[in-house]
This record gives sequence, structure tokens and C-alpha cells, in this order.
Amino acid sequence: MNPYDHVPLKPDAFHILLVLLDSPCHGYALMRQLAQVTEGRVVLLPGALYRRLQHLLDDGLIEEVAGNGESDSRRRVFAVTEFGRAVAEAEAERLDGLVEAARRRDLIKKKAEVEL
Amino acid sequence: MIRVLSVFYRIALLTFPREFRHRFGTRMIETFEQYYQDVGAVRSIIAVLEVLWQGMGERLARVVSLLQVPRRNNGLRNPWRGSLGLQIGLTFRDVRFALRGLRRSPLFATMAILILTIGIGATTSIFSVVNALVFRGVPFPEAGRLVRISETYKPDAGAIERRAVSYPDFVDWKHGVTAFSDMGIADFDYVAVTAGGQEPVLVATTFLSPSFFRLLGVRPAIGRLLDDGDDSPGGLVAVVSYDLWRSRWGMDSTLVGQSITVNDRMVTVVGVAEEGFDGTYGGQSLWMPFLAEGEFISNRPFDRVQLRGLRGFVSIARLAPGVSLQESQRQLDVVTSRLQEDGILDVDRGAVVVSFVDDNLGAARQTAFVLAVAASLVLLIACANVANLLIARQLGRSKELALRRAIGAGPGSLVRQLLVEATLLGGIAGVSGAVMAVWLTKVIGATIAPSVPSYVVPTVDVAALLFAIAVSLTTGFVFGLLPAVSTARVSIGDSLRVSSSSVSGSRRGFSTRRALVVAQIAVTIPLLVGSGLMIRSVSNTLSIDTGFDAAGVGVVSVNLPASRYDDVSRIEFSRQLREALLNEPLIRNATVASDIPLNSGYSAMIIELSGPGYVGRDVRVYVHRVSPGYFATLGIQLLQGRVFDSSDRSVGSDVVIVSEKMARRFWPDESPLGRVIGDATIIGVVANATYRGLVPDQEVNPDDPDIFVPLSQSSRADLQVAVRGQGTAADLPMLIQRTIGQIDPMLPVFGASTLAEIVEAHVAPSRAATRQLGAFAAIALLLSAGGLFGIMAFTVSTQTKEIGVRMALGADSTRVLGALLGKAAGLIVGGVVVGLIMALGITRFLESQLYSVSTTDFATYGSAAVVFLCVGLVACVIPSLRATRVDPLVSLRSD
Repeated sequence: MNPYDHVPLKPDAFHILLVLLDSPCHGYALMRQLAQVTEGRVVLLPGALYRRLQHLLDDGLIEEVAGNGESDSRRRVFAVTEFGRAVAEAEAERLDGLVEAARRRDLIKKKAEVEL
Repeated sequence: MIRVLSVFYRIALLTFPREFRHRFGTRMIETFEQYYQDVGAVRSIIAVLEVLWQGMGERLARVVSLLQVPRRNNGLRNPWRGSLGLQIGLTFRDVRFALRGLRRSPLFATMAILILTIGIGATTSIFSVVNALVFRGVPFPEAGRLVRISETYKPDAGAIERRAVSYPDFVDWKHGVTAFSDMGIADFDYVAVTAGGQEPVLVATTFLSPSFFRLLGVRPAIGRLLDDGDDSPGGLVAVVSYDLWRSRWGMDSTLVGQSITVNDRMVTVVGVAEEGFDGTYGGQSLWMPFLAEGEFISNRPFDRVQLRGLRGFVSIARLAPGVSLQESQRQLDVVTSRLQEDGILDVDRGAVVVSFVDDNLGAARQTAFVLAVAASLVLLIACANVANLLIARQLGRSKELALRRAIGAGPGSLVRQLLVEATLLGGIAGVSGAVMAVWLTKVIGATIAPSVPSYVVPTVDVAALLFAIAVSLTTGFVFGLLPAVSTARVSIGDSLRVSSSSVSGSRRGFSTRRALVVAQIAVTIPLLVGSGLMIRSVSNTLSIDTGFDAAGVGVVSVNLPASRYDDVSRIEFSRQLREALLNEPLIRNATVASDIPLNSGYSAMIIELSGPGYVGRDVRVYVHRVSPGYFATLGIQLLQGRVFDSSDRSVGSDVVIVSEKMARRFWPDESPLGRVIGDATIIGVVANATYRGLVPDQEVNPDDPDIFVPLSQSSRADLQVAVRGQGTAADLPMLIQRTIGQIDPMLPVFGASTLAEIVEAHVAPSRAATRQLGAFAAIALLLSAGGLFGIMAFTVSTQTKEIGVRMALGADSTRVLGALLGKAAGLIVGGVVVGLIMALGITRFLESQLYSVSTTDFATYGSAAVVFLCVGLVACVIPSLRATRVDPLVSLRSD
């Protein structure tokens, strides 16, 4: 399996991977985390969320594992697989290249400049 | 609340494929419930809708993914992926393949194409007509701001009636109402036009106030239109229509400024109206100033503009910017009540404003709406039928499809091929449907033509055609795909092992088909009921006792121009004409009158009845001025006294004949003979007859009494001539025309027809609507019977083996037949019951079209149900009989 076959990732899929790389979690926690880390820019309601999770599961980017028992051990949580991490890295690399290219053309202002 | 929403959420989840629900359903519900705890009910509702939406998206995505060439082939990347050449190559192959497939089953292909053609053709043409009537409507700019003003009359009993407008009232409105930016008044008539020594031609003419052209936004093609200065009694100027200019003067531009002869008077043509304009209601060719009308048709020109009681004109106005219809009505009411306070207008009189467009097209729109509903139902049935055919075909082919998958065809290519087939069917049907639509639009256009202005000409609407084709294609896709997708899912081994005659795994397809058949029956019933109601209504209208005998009567109208005829010479002309007609051997009786029943030309007046009990009582009566022979010619029965004879001519001994209705109303217990109306003595009573309209409406009150006075006592310019001949009436109008020509060759003669034709014209619009609705109902009946036939044939063919076993075990054919028909009866009865309920709801729209039949008429509903039960039974018995002839040995061996 070649991680580059899955690049580019859909933005919300990439966000899911990023959240799950922090810590595996179940559906609702994932939903909240997504909204939090993206400051409300990515809000996936259950229908869309589980459809996306389905694709990630089928493509082997994430897997279902037993919960760590903190709140409810019976609950299965989603975690990023090794392959998923490789895909996330490939996507990050791709995005980095894009950002670098944009920066070279002065498209990205430094934070300080923006705040001035 | 959470419980309720949770239930909704579970229901909404059903839009997801089953396998998805098994995998994630529980967790999605948990997630939803937690979400609810955090955000509350309002935002949770959005989540319910979201899951509904996503579920449909998921299903769609799965179908689409089946269509795509697999991403990876045995781990090797497909180098041709996305290549245009390959895609097109595949499609050509698919088309060839689909054509071959359709050729292999010609019956299926023919049926599907035929049904879709009917559906597409019927729907498109009806919506084209609706488009012409409703959306294109009248061709005048800002037609929505145009209104028609009518006078109203409130009789002692009964509804308010609408009346035409009198000139004094019009003038009062003009001064007292600011709600209109412009107002116009018009009168319609026929005049004889002579130019350059040619034969006189009869021309439909409007005498109108020049503001009419401004109101309707008309421009001249050459010259000018009428302006306000022309509108005077001596305003002998005319505007000619573009069509008349072309046909009569070959578009000679020197016509402007030339003189033509109109009813023996010289008139100057000042201009030609723009191309396409033929009057407010269409069909007009000449326009002259309103106030000049007296010069041409009346010998008392000033009466027309001075008598408030002479209500014979049409008034149209344009609402001023920002003024509503209600506001204009309010202002009119103010003028009315002021006139009433001043004692100028009776208290039972008034005025009403209605939208010009509604007034003009309202009735036709209603007919078109009913037909549009009927056409939509037919399209629905057609689609259900094709869906049924497609499912049956796919079920029959499941083995073939499985075989093709087994030898290497991917599910995508199978599905694509089925899609190509459905598209092909839809495409062919689209073309033939378009052809049918063009033809049908013409037919329907012709049938509504009598009830709409001539500028409403329906043409096939491309949008409607595309819509109908889209609906048919979608049906093809959906029902072509469903079985295909399930075939793609079922394991190849299973499909191949299963024998074709037991068709396991097809229960779902079968129950879908049963549901479709029930739906078709249910939709057919309202159509049957609707056309049944219309048929009853028309036959009720036809069976109205008109009180006269229309058979064998010929009618012609003639106009005696004021320039050459005064009262005395008019009376003399009528007498001479009648005598000449009676000398014709073919004619048994003849009459000259102000009006012939149902042929317009009637007028009403208010009379004062004197005598004990009704002194000073004002009564509105319709006055018919008739020559001797009127009642005998028309076959109206004399009940008491005598009819007019030639001795009633002498002035000073005024006599009158009254209708039975009048006699009953005012002299219920005594003989009216010898009583006096005005100055006239009643000398006879005749049976009631319908003079003004077969069916009562806003402008026809059947309870108004009729009186008859001798034509010799008060003649008119517009006369109608009727004769009763021997044998057929068809030649009579020609005979009358010839006789008139012998007396005065320059007289304009028009309206030649038979009385039977005149009566028929009153029924024609509803008869036409009935015929079309009936045609739709017949198509629907045929289609749904076909659907029923199909499903029974299918049932029988799949159960051949079972039937064989039963018969081998001793069941006789009657019992087998009974069992099969029992199944069908369930479908039929279910469909009929649902259909009758639907009919109760839908037929309400027909109410205004029906005469003396209720929309819930039990007999009609019953007949519709019985008709369908009979047709349905036949459709079921034929295939079922085949089952009973099954030879047990053969059927058991089959397979």
C-alpha cells in the first residue's frame, strides 16, 4: 500500500487524523475535538462524520480499538493506524510544499506584519 | 423531547444502507444523544435532517461508485483510466449492445417506448397549453394592471349578476375615480366595408374610446391610431388591422388618408395597427371612435350615450401605479353610492372591478388546470408502468447478468449498460413523444379556441418537453438500476444456481411491482371518476329542455344601416323579407326578430307593472321584438290566447305576449290575458324557453321573465332571421342570404348557421374538455390494465411448477383459477379503494365545470369502480386461464 495514493486527503479527513493522532477517541469526543481545534471551522454532524470514518476505516487509515477504560471500557474508540500516520505525513509533506511555494511568492504575511 | 427526537433520528437513519446502519447505527444514535445534551433541541433537529441528507448521499455514492472503472486492477494501475477514447469506446459498445438487447425483446421495447411516448406527449402538450393560458396569457404590456369594469345588478332573490356598462355610468366613473390611470369604453359590432368598387365585406369592428390603444400599449404600423380629438359623433375616421390591410389592400401604404365606405358612409383611414394586434378579445379588424358609432348602426345616435339604462358596452381600465384592485373598487363604490343618493342610480345597481386577465382567460384556465392534473396522472401511470416493465425484464435477466459477471464483466459495466438501455428507451420515446406533443397541442388548442381570445395560440413548450423526458428518464434510471444493483450484490454462484422459474431473491422486486400496480389503479380511478362526472354534466346540459325545437331551423343575421333605413323602412323590410321567404317552396315558416334563442342580441328592460297587488312594482324583463311566425318557426308552444298576426302592426293597439314564467310569477291564480304591461295588453302566454344560455351563470339568470312585442311596434337595426324548412337545415342559411340579396344586395349579412349549431356551440367547450379528459382516462385505464396483466402473467409464469404440482395432486382448474384471481382481487380492490378516496379529494377542482351533478355523485363513483373491476378482471383472467391449461407433466419437467 502506498500512502501517496491517498494524497491529497479531504481537509476534514486530515483534521480527523490530526485529532486522533493526539489521542484515540469515540465518535462524540471526536466531533467536539474537531470543532474545538478548528475553532468551529470544521463541524461534522454525526451523519457526515461516520461516513468519513467509514472511508478511513475501509482504506485502513484508522482502526477501531478497545477503549482505555477511563470512562467506559466497553466503548470502541477510533485510532490512527501506522498506515494512517504515513498518509498523514504524506499529506503534511504535500501541504508543506504548497505553503513553502506560497511563502516564496510572498503570499503569506508574517504574523507580526499582520498584527501591525 | 430527547425521546421524540431520538425516534426521529432512528427513522432518518433508515436512509442509510442497511450494512452501514449495522456497522455504525448504535454509535450514531449515542453520538446524537450526547450532542443533544450539549446543544439542545433546536440544533439537534438540524442533526436529524443532516442524517437524512447524508443517508441519501451515501446511497447515491454507492451507485456512482459502481459505475466507475475499478481503481486498481489486480494491483496494477490502469494506464487508460480517465482516457476519453476508452470511455467513448465503451459507450458505443454499450449502445450497440443495448440496441441488440432491445431487438431481442421487441414486445418489451415497443411497449416501453409506446407508454413513454403517450406519457411524454400528453404531459408536454397539456403543459404547453397551460403555459399559453397562464404564463404567456394576454399579449399586452403590464397586463396584470389591466382591469375590466362591469356593472352589477342585485335581483330580489339570487346572486349578484354582472352586466355590461352604460356610457353615462362610464363618464361618472371617469370623473369620480382616481385609481385608474386610463379608462376606455368599447362596443363590438359588424359593419359592411366597401373600398374601390369591390363587393362589400363584413368586418368585425370595435367602436372604442381612443384611450383603448394607450391602455393596451398598441402602436401604429403606418399612419396613426385614434386620438382623443377623433372621439366625436362626426369622427368618421378608422384604423385598420394589419391582417385586413394585408388581405384587402395588399399592404398598400397609400391606404392612409384614403376613404372607404363603412355602412354607406365615407370614412377616412388614418392608420394601420401594429402587426399581431387584433383587439382586446381578438378577431377584430377595424377600429373607429366610440362616439361615432351612432352614425353607422343606430338611427337614434344620442340614445347610446345618454341613456343610463342602456348597458351594452365593455369598459377596461389600467390601475394607476401603486393602486390596488381593492382601492379602485372602493372608489367605484363611492361613486355608486353618490349616484344612488342623488337618485340617479337604482339601489340594486353597482359596479365591480375584476382583473382583465382573469376575466378573459379564467374559464379556459380552469379547464386547462383540470386537464393538466389529468395529464400528470397519466404521466405518473406511464412511468409506473415502464418501471414495472423494467423490473420484470431485469428479474428475467438476472441469470444472464450473473453469467456475464461470472465471465468477467465488472458490476460497473453491467450497471452502465443497463443505464444505456434505459437512456436509449427514454431517448426514442422522447423523440416520438415530441412528435405526439406537437400534434396533441394543435388538437387541444383547437378545442379551447372558442373560449379564448384568438391571440392565445398554444405552441409546444420546450421546457415542458424536457421536463417530461427528464421524468421518464429518471424512472428508467431508478427502476433500471435497482435490480441491477441488487444483481451486482448477489453472489454469482447463487444467481446461476437458481432456476429461472422459481426466481428466488426476487421477492423485493415482485413486491415493488405489486405496489406499482396498486398505485396505478389508485391513480386511474380519479381519472375515471372525473371524466364520468364530466360526461354526466354534459349530458345533463344536453338534456336541458330548451323549450324550442332546434332541428330544421336555419338562422342568419342582418344589419340595416341607419343611413338608408329609418324605423318605417325597417318594418317594411322585415315584412317584405318574411313574405319572400314564405314564398320559397322549401321554407315552411319564417320570422324576423331582434333575437333568436341562444344567439345573443337580447336586451332587458325594467318595466312597471300596474294592477291590483303590484302597482308600481319594477320588474326586469327581457324584451324580444318578433315578427309573426316567431313561435311557430322556433317550435315554442302557445299556452293561452293567440300569437301575433299581421294585424298587430297598427300603431296605437300595443299588444304583448308573456312567457309562462312571467304569468306564473305575477298572475299565479288568474289568467294574464287582458292584463296591461306598460301600455300593452297581454294577448297570449307561451311556454318557457332558454334564450340566454343553457347553463345559468354570472350573466344569465334563468328566472328572468321574457316578454314579446311585435317587431312592427319597435324595430331595430340588428335583426336575426330564422326559417323552418323541410328536411335538413343545412341549406337554409344560404337560402335566406339569397332572399335578402334579392331585396337589398348591399346589406351586410352574417352569422349564417343552423339553430342546432348554435345550441351545440353552447355545449362545445365542456364537450371538448370531457372528450379530452375521457381520452386521458381511457389511456390510464389501458395502462393500468396492462400493468395488471403484466403482473398476473408474471405470477403465472413463476408459479407454473407450483400449479403443476397442485394439479397433479388433484386440484381442478377452477380452484387454481380461483386462487390466482384471489391474489389479483386483493390488488384491484386495494387500488380501487385508495383511488376512490383520492378521487373525493381531486374532483373538487372540477366543481365549477359541472352542471347539476355533485362532485361526490355516488353513481359515478360506483360506475368508475365497476368499470375498473371489470377491466381489471379481464386483464387478470387471460393470463390466469393460461395457467389452468398447464399440463402437470410438462410443468414439472420444465427446468
